[in-house]
Amino acid sequence: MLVLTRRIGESIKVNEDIKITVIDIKGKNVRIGIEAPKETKIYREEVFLRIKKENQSAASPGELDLEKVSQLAKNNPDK
Amino acid sequence: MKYETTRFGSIDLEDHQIIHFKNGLYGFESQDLFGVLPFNADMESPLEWLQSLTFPELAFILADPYVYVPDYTVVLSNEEERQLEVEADHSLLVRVIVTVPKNYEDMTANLMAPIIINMNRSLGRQVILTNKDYDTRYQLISQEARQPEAVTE
Repeated sequence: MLVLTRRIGESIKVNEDIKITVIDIKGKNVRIGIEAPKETKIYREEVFLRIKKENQSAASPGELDLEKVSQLAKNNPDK
Repeated sequence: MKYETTRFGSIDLEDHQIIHFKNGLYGFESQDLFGVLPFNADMESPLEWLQSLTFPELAFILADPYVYVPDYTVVLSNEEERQLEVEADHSLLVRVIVTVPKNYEDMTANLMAPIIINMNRSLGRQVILTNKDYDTRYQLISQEARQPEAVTE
């Protein structure tokens, strides 16, 4: 991992078009500003972990009453 | 092409029904081939199966998100569009993965990370939406639609 020291107000450039700036530091919290092209997807790492976990809970459900599950899923078209 | 599955036994799929997921799914990165199968052969269902063709046991339940959230909006990044080889006249299938717990009425759908399939190219990908703050555990069964005994407690 590349480790860099930055002060408040200083930035890091990633490629030509992404700029990450340290906005503020308060105790253990760092506020970070990210400037990137609109199509760049930026998310907190926890989001990834949550989605992984959710996929794992959804994977290969055990024995299901398919008719009952279908009926329930169908019952509710306009929540 | 014939594939063995734990849930459905041997299944026979045409080439265009074999969906390539170059990145797999989150948490299942090495599973790169899936087929979409009817949920229940005996009745119509709003659900489908996403069956792994590389790991016979692995299957997910899919739902059409627009049935539950009519204004559901998917915005793909340029990179995602490139990987799915999306062109203007292509039809994209949008599905969400459903988690069904023991109490079926608590089933949820992951609206944040839908499955997008380019039907014209048989290419699929799970994407993370950032255009809106969608829930990973969206309740599919509303309180009103639940059976009374299930609501108590």
